[in-house]
Amino acid sequence: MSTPDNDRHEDAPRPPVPGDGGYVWGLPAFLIASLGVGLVLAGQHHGEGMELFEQYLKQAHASVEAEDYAVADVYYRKLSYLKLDDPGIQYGLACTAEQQGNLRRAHSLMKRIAPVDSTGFAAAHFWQAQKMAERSGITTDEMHELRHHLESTLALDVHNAEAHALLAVVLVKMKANELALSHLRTACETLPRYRVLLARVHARDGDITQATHQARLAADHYQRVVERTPENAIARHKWADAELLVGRLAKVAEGEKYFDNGRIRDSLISFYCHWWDTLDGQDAKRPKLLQRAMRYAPNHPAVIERASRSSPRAGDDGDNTRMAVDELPAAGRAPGVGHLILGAAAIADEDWPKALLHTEQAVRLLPNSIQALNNLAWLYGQSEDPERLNEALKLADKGVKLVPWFAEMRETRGQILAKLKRWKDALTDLEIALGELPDRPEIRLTLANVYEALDRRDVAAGHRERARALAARPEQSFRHEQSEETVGHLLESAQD
Amino acid sequence: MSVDSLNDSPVAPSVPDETAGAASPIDHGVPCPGASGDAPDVRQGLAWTDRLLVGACTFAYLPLLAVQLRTTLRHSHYEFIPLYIGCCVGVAWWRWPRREAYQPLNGLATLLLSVSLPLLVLAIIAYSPWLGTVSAILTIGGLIVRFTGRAGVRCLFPVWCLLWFAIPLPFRFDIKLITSLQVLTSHSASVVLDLFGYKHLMSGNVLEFPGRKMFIEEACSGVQSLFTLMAFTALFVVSFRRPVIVGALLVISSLFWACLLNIARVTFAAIYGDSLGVDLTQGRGHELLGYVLYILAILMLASTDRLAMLLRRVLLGVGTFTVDLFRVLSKNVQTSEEVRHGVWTRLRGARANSDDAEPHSPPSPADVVERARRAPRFVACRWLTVCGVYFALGLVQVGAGVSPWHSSGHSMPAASVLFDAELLPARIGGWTLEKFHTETRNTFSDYGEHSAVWRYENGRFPVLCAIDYPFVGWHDLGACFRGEGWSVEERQLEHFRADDGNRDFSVVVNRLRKPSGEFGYLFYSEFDSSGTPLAPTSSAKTAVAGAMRRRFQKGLSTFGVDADVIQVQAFAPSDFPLSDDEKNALRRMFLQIRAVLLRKSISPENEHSR
Repeated sequence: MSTPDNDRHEDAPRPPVPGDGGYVWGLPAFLIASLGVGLVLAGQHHGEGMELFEQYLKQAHASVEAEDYAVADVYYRKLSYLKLDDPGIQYGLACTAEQQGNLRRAHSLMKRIAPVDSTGFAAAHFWQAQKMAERSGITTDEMHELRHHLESTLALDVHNAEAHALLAVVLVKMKANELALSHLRTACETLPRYRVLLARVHARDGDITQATHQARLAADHYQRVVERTPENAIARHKWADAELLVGRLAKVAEGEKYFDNGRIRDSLISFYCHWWDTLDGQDAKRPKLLQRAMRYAPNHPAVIERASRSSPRAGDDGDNTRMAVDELPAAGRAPGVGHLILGAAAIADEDWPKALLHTEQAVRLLPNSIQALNNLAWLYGQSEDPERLNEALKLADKGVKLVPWFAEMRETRGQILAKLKRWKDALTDLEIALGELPDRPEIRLTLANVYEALDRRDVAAGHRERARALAARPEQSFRHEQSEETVGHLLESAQD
Repeated sequence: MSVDSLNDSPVAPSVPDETAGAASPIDHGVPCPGASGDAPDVRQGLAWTDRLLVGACTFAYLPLLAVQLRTTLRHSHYEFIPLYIGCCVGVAWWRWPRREAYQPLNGLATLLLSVSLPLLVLAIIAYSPWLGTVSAILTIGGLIVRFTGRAGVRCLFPVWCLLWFAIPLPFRFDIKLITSLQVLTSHSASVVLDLFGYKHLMSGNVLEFPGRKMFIEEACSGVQSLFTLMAFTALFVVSFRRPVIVGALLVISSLFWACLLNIARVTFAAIYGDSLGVDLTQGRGHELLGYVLYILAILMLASTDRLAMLLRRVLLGVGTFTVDLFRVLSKNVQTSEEVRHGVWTRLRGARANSDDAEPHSPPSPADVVERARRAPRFVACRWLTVCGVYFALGLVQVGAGVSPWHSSGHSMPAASVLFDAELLPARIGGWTLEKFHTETRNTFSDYGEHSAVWRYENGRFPVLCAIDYPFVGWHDLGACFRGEGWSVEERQLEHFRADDGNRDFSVVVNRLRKPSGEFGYLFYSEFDSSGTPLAPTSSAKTAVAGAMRRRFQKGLSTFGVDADVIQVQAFAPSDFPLSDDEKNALRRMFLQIRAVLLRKSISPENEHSR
């Protein structure tokens, strides 16, 4: 083996043995190697601690709050590498997938962390329960699965009032009223809005005293909310709903006279409109509800909106509404509404000349009717003529100025702007509209076109995917069914 | 043996050569001419049998070596080999011993040649240029020993060892090594980026910043510079006669530097890309960064050399001190220097005795020629027989058409034939063709130079069917997917019989998964341009068995290597685990597309289009 002596006696020359100065050249390798290894080890140590995990988690949450789901997805995927099989991270991944329109992935991830045969991650169980509740035509097996998800949610998160309430509805459906009442009571401790439902379940059980008590508590609650925020239409509606229930239950008022004063009248109209919303399009009750609402305020925006939506439908609903419309001019009341509805009906029938005639007349008679402006702007917006499109834009501008938060108007203006290739302006309106009407595929499709024009193909692809998913989604939902039951069936039970 | 042990090998002593400068007390004046700069005359004194042997060996090995070189050069990480071999030849020339120092060592030469000859036969039978190259290196060793004797062993053994760096590790261990190191370096770069606060996701070799994706490397390319650095470091060690410990340390450190600089490259490219928006993962910037870091690696190796020499000196110093201390403590007045001198004297004495018993002096060239003339007839006959065998093996290869340009009698399918959307049906099972695209990459691409991809959808999950080619030997597609961030949860081999009933083929089925919840099912199979299926070389056993099977399938009429391999794959990414029914449907689909693409790849129509 080699020794210094051997080296000295080698026949062939070796490079000169470095002196002290020569060895100094070994220093760069030592320093750089130490630096490199040190950095990697420090990084490894940094990655193993919770600090890095929490930093990414914070970033992910911030991205979700900013509704930047593509970025959130990157952070959640990173987190999944840092902490393998962490259910919280998988849940985050599922939520971002849902927001990006990839419902299948969201379901798959949720199923993995919240299986049907055992208890998993509470939030994922609740997410699945909510999704199941939104479905129509739910079978008995699915009902049991829904119950499992809700019970698993509550086993892990006993304070989830929404889960208590939803479980109560499921239990009512499964005819386990006693258990349902217990869950509803728990829900009402933090969410007073469920008192109406609680009252109805009591009423169904025949406990009118408790039902009245709970309905009164609900009415008081909503009254306070309305006093605090008078523009809160939902609270008004709920208040009316609760008052109506109290009235029915106490058998004090007779018909609508009990409510015949200004503020309650609006609440009652809201109630009829809401009831109308919960019913199927073919339901014979719908025209009657609308007629009742029209009797109180034919020019009420909510009534006009429903009337214009109802009239295009074929069958009894449309016919009956037309009859109701016919009555209005005859009575010398609200001819504008009549034109509006007839215009909407013509739109549905794709009878464009007639639609234009009636809608233009409606705009003349109701120049500040947002629905009329919206319909006419939409009609003009179908044209390819730039002048017509500009007219449509003027109408839409007026509508948006009148009611800036009216999503339909925003959507119409967004579509017109997109047609005029004013992409950035269109983007603003469409995104505002999307916030209110997230399930409307047309908005998503136009948004996809706008993003493509703005060279953001990744976002465009997300919207397109979501639009496809929405188009494929069944229209009816269990929530509607549930809503129908709570408002209709339970109320009738209470009346009984 | 090692560089040092060779330099210090206790060969038979002889009279020191005064002209060779300082003679080693061990090698007794059998100098390597590199010491004095004398040019050797290799052919001087070669007997006619030796010349014949060189000629026969060259003839026997050239076809396989040419094929091996061609196939090796298809991998970008072996591009250095021609230059490297040139350097090895130069070093050998420089170190070739003078004939005056000739001391025969026929036993070793015969041993090496006896081992190499069966290996060559096996290489031809087993269809393996790699084995042929191993045999060639052994033969070169044998010939060197035969022609240069003990002096050759001493001077040229290190150079001969360098030749082993020019052949890839067997059974694709080289690819496995560099891809594993690539994953390691990508991961390390990721932790450094995290340390610097760059929020990112490193999935395999794919680096993702929010709204921006960068492919650090082709997924299965591996650490490209590893073998180049290792080989040239070994060349440096031999050329500059570094002691064995220093040499070993340097070669190992080349692996370290290759990895560290790869980490630096990824980190730098990521930081540069994220901060300035300039992509250094492709194009000129990528190449420039690669060259700069390669130069840096060489500088670091030079620096490591100094460091290793210092370390060796320190270790020796510590050893000397320990011996002295031990002597002093044991009241022995001898110092380490004296101890060493005493041992040395005894050793020389023993050798001197040995020399007395069997005196040896270096023969002159005239002696050598004379010895050859006086060689017994049966010895000449023996070597003639060996030459004849080599010559016959060469003839077999020439007759069978072994050449680097025409390996298997079939050429690759033209892109114009396979780049056709209508090649696969619009509907397969429940899947509908949605999209078709093609890709042409550079010749060295680890994904294959050409790809045609058909994307099918069935409403639940997509299936990407693709044909990729050409590859050299079996291409482990699973490694590519690992490079893209997938982990292989399960790998199965399924065997099928082709429709014609003649050929069995294997399909690799990989179940893949990502931590972020994605699942993947990958089916792939490979065949060469003649349609002969390849067996996956996942282990030595399967590799040898596969080679023998292919030899059997092809018969003796066709020679060649798997230089023109075509890969067919079906990959189904999904967000959920597939059911058994879905997996079976996917399997059926894969078999169907494989049959179509195989037929099209080897059809006469395809031949005509070329």
